[in-house]
Parts: sequence; C-alpha cells; structure tokens
Amino acid sequence: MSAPTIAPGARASATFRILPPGMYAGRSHVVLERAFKVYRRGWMLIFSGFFEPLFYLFSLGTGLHNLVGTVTGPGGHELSYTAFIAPALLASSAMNGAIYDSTMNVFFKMKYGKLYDAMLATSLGPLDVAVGEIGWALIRGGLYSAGFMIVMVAMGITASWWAAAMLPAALLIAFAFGAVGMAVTTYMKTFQDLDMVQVAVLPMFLFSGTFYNLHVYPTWLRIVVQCLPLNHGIELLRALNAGVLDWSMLGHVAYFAVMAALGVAVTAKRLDKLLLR
Amino acid sequence: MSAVAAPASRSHLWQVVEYQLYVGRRIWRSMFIVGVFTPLAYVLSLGIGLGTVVNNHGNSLGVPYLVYVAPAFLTAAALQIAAADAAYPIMAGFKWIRTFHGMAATPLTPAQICDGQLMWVALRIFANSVVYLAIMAAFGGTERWWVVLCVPIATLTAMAFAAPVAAIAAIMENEGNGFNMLFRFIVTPMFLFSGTFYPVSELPEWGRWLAYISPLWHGTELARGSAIGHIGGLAVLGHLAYLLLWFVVGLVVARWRFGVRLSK
Amino acid sequence: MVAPSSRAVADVTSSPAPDLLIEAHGLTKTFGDFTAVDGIDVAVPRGEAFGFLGPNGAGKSSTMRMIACVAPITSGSLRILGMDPVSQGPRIRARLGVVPQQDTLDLELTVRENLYIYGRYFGMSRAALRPKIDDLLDFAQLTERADAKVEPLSGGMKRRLTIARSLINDPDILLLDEPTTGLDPQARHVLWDRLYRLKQQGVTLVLTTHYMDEAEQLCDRLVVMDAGRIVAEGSPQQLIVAHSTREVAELRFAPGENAAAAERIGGLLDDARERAEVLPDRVLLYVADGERALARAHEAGLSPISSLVRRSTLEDVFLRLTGRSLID
Ligand SMILES: Nc1ncnc2c1ncn2[C@@H]1O[C@H](COP(=O)(O)OP(=O)(O)OP(=O)(O)O)[C@@H](O)[C@H]1O
Ligand SMILES: [Mg+2]
Repeated sequence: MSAPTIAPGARASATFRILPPGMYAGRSHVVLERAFKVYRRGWMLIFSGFFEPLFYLFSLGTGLHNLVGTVTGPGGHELSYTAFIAPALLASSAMNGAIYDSTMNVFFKMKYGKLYDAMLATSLGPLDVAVGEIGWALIRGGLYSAGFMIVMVAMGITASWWAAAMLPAALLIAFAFGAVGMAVTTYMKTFQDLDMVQVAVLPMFLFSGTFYNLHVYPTWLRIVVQCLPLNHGIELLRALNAGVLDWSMLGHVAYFAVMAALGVAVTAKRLDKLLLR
Repeated sequence: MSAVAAPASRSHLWQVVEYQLYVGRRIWRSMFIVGVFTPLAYVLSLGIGLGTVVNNHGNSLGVPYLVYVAPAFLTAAALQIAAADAAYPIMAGFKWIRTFHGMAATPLTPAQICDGQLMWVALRIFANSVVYLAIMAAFGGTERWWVVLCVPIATLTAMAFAAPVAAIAAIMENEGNGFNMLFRFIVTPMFLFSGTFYPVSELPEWGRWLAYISPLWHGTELARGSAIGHIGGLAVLGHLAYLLLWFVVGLVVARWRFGVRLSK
Repeated sequence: MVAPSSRAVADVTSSPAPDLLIEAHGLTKTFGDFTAVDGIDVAVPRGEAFGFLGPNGAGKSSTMRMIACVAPITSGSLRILGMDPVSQGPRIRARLGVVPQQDTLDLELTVRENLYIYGRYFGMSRAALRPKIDDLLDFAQLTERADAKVEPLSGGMKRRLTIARSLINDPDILLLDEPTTGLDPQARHVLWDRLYRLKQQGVTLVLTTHYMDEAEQLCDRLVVMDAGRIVAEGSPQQLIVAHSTREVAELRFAPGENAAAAERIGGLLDDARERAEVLPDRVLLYVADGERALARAHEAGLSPISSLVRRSTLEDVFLRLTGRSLID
C-alpha cells in the first residue's frame, strides 16, 4: 500500500510548530461563534457579572470614605478611597472572571456536557478549543472591564489618558489567570476539586492590597503578597490609572507574560490527556 | 452469563470504609473551607488589615474596627450560607434527585418535609456561627460576654432570609439561573449595603433605605448591639419583629408551595 | 424512490486515494493494566460496509474511538485514509462522520444550531450549510422541532439528531457505534435506507450493532469481537456457513424440562457438526435438516409445547462464538 502523505503541520503557521502535531486547525473562531449563540439567550447572566465590582466600588468607596480618609497612591499622590480601590477592583474582577471561566465552566463542560468530545470528533484540534474558550473569556472580560472603566471615567477618578491602557492590561491579567486556571483544571478529577480554586482566589482577592496599602503588613507578609500575581495586577492598574509610570511596570507585565506562557504551555501539553482518552 | 457473585471478602469491606473516608474527607474539606478558612480570611484581611488603616485614621466608631465589623461578618456569612443551602439542595430535591417526592410517599406531610429542610439549614448555621465566634475571639474581636448572642441572632437572621429562598426554590420550575440572579443582585449587594463595613449613616439617603429593607441590616444591628452595647430595648424589639416577619411569611409560603409541588 | 443515477464517487482529490481506508495491525488499547483491545488486525477497503459485533465490553467502542482519532492507540499501527492519526488527526477527522455510542449533542443549543455549529467546526461556510441542514432535519424527521432546545427531546430524537449531525460534512468514512439503539422501527428503516444510499455513493461504513438483522442487512463484512480479540471474520453468509448449521429447530418445553429434553435429543443428532443448545426458555437444535430433527424428537417420545424450524442466522453464529446471549 502506498501512503505518500503530506508532512504534518506543513501548512500550520510557524507559531504553532513547537506544538505536538494535530493540535491546531486554525479554527478557534467557530468555538467563539458557538459561545455567542449560547449566550445570546443568556445575556442577563453575562450582564450580571458586570455589576459585582461596581457594587463593591459604590459600597466601599462611599461608605468607607470617612473612616479611611485619603490614601497614598502611586507616586505619593493622595487619592480618595474610591479612586484607590477602583483600579484594584478592576484587576480583581479580571482575575475572578477569568478563573471562573477557565475552571468551573471548562470543568463542567468537559465532565458533564461532553461538549469537547463532540468538538474533538470534528477537524478541530484541542488547541482550537482551548484558544476559543480562552478567547471567549477574554472578550467577556474585556466587555466588563470596558464597562467598569466607563464608570470610572464618569466618576472622575481617572487621572490621565494612561488610564485607557488599563483595558489591555486587564486583558493581559485575565489571559494569564485564565491560562493558569485552565492548566490547573486539566489536573482536576472531581468537582469538589474546584473548592481548591476558591482557596487560592479568595485570599488573593482579600490580601493583595485591593483595600489598603501593603505597609500595614509585617515585612514577611508584605513580601509574600508581593509575589502573588494579583498584587502585580493591582499595582499595574493603579499606576496606569494614576498616570504615574515607572520601569517596575514592565516587571508586572513580564510577570503576567510568563504566567500566560506557562499556563498555555502546560495546558497544551495536558490537553490531549484531558480531552482525548 | 455467569451468575456467580463474588463473596463479600474482607478487602471489599475495607474498600467500602475507604470509600466513605474518601467521600467524607471531601465533605469535611468543603465544610472547612466555608466554615473556617473563609472567616479567617475575612477577619484577618478586612477586620485586622483594613482595621489598621481605620484605627490609624482616628477611628470614630468607638471600638476597634475588628470589634465593629466581626459580628457583622458573622451575620452576613450565616445569611449567605443559609441562602445557598436553602436554594440549591431544595431545588435539587424537587427537580434532580427528587428526594422530596420519595419522602412524600411516606406519612410525612409536605409541611413537615419543608420544616425538616429548614431545620437542617438552621443547625448548620448555628454550628458555623459558633466556629465564627471562636475565630473572632481568637483574634481579639470580642469585648464582652454578651457577644455570644451573635450566634442565635445570626441564626435567626439567616433563617429569615432562608425561608423565603426555600419558597422560591419550591416555586421555581426551571434550572438555577434564577438563583444566580438572586445571589448576584440580592445577596451580594445585601452584604455590601447593610452596614457591614460602616454605619449606614455613611450612605446617601437611597442607600440607607435599601439597608432598612434588608433583613441583613436588622440582624447586623442586633449582632453589633450584642457585641458593643449601645442599643435600645425598643430597637431590639423592632429588629426582632422585622426578622420574624420575614421568617414567618417565608415559612408559610414555603410550606404552601411544598404542598402544591408534592401533590402534583 | 429514485436511485442515484450513477455511482457517484466520493471526492478523493484532496489526498491520495489508498485502497484501504482503514488499516490496523496489532491494534491495542489498554486502560491501566486492563486490555480492552488486544492486538487486532482490521482492513477496510473503500466503499465497504464493515461491522463489529460482540458482547458488551468486547472492545468495539474502544476500537471505534481509535479509528475516529479521538483516542490514542496504545500499540500497533493504525492508518486512516492513508494518514497517521497522531500527527494528522484534524485532517483525518475532517473526512469522518462519527456517531458515538453516547450522544454528545450540545445541550445549550437548539436542534438546528447543533447541526449548524457542528458544520462550522468542520470549517463549512454558512451558505453551504443552509440547504444541508434542511435536508438533514428532514432526514432526522426533526423539522418541526428545529428551533427547540435539544435537552427535552426524547432519546430516539436525540439519537436521530446525532446521526444527522454526522453527515453534515459529507464524510468519506462513516463510523456508527450502535446507531440504532433506541430508535423506533420506522426510524431504523429510514436510517438503513439512507446508509444504503450512502454506500452506493461510495461512502465507507463502519458500524457496531447488537442487532443481527441490522448487521445482515447492512454489512458486506463483519468481525466478531470477544474480550478484545477478533474471533471470526467474513461476510454474514460466510460466517453462517462456517460457524453454524443450515437450519435450526427451536423447541419449547415446560419450564424446568428444557435441560433434560436437550440431553435426550443430543443422543439423536446425526454428526459432530450438529448440536443442541439449552437456553433458559427453549432448546435450539443446530442441524442440517430441521424437520427431520423434529420428527425424530417426536418419535423418541418428546413432546415440546411448541416448535419451529428456521434458517440459521447471525444470531446463532454469535451465540456459538461468544457463548452468550446477544443483548445481555
Ligand atoms: N475510559 C475507559 N477507562 C477504563 N476502562 C474503559 C474505558 N473505556 C472502556 N473501558 C473498558 O474497556 C472494555 C471495552 O469497552 P468498550 O466500550 O470498547 O466495549 P463495547 O464492546 O463497546 O461494549 P458495549 O457493547 O457495551 O458498548 C470494557 O471492559 C470497559 O470497561
Ligand atoms: Mg460500545
């Protein structure tokens, strides 16, 4: 029998050469198309996700205003409490949304919905599915972030045009968390394992300096928190919102770039274990 | 086909025990996260961390910030857990696993089934609140013995909200989307706007009225009253009456809907 | 019904056309230390209708999943359409239609959207999909439910939709894992008709089934699997000739008497190829001449409550080879 076959991946773009062959068909946009079809009906649920950070902003910004007074922000500027927490809430909600999408949603679709089984019986590759799902999470996250930023502008708590850069920054944060979340999900077996996501996310939300400066901590704790990803996100967005730029921001960006790369690499490596058994 | 059943060997028995331990460990883990880990995180980060900032800023509350917020956290946690425990298990009992239909085939009446479910929620909330109180005390968030009243107060507040949620769960025919809405648009805002973090007098007029409607605010006032004092007898009666009203109305509707649902 | 005017040949321009569309040697699948498929050889030429039979757990679905390129092989070699599933999974799957044993419909979408999105997964254009979807809805008899959610459909309707979905990309190879389980007789015949016509158009069919009539109707060639191995192979007719007798006499005795009766009859049989088989409710006599065997039984003083004589079927082959009832 003659089987002259075209070399695998000959047509795949250079970007994906490094991946195992047969992972990617360049068609993740149809995974997005599916998500749009589904959520056209459930738009209220999507819409509702936009409100959570706003509730925090209004409640704590207004109510703690007198109790906390002004807070020292980036570059030593005094900020109102609302202006202090707003960018941090934006970073936190980018994290929360991305983690939720990449762990809960992916896990349930995988284990119970059989959705990925159907997708992978077609000419889609696992990477199409992963990129499509992460892409959808980012689009959602981007919409929330944009909405939140409009509110911030309306409230007059953005200090410069640099604040516009918070949108791509928030997307980068979401991408990094989403990629790592998905990588972690590939190791989950039962849905009780999702509890552990909560264990990681809740303290990060509460301790990463969303609500106060880290100098209230003893030194050791401050150092620990400064290593956590959310703190980098908060610092980055806070600086952008205040328009106070310095080189340390590149460090934050690099942190998330590395996180995203690691997350995608592990996910890609684990995906056929996860999806093709 | 072979009909020879394997004899129940000792290793099978051990497997059963192992399985139970395994399942049990998962449940304990999840209860630990909700009951101990989460309270710790809130007490440390917002009670003590944010408290440091507030106390440094010439705290006008009369007590350390932790003493001020901890009873409110305890009450809010009780309400949130109770809401979830009333919502999903009851909906599942009707829709997915249909346990209630099974129970209704015994001499139990629908009202008894309803009461039993709520009783179970109340017990769990009570236990959670005791643990929460211990955590508060461990970090210096308590100043006087009256604070133990936080436990029954939180339980009552939680049930005042759980009973109507149970009624909704019994009414709802479709899957849980409605509950997502309930948590996002009612429970979370309630936590944020019921004077948990600050006196409601800090809120604008409309925000204050939202708090007055919310059962959580009434529960928080009572719990804080027990922790700090400074609360009048009439106010206590008023708050209690309002919470009882929520509970009784919720319970009546829930019992009625259980009856309707189970006689179909 | 109008038969296709000419034997349309499947589009083979996209890659070289091997004679064997599926070629497996020593194909093995293990889960942990359990071996589900134990070194089987399968070769399916273009245009053939090929069947896997076998009792529950024989390894049919595991084999089908490897052929569908959704499960990696443990060892051995496998080529589909002349390509390697590991490195060219997407390119192979682009030309397969798959009906998995368990439906994997998208429960969050409507019936029509299921077909549409599935076609999109294959990279088909909206314009190309529209007429296709209408045809497939009609075939699945779901036109009325086109815009309903999938979740509340009946089991058989879901199955029909899964089958329709597998045809959306005009596959070269159609893999059907127990396609008709749960279908009513009418839907089953609609499917058979469609499969027959697809075969005429040159589509290669691979199916598993527990219905022997289905296997006889549809398959040019069959293998019987048991415990991960192939225990027999051939056309339905060849299998019957090789593994059964020409006729079967079925005798039903009063409950509890079947075994004793079978023992007595056993002594009456002609040659070594003939034999008696005791089922819980009846005795089967595998013989060359059924009427003669019946007459002998009567002569010997046995009086069954009822009896009949029929030709051997695949079912008898299956029983003989696997020692089990078909649907156990
Ligand atoms: N993912 C898996 N993990 C572990 N064991 C598996 C897995 N899938 C199948 N098996 C085992 O492999 C064996 C063959 O299963 P398979 O599904 O291929 O059988 P089958 O011939 O399709 O049976 P049926 O007629 O019941 O569909 C069974 O013993 C099954 O338990
Ligand atoms: Mg099977």
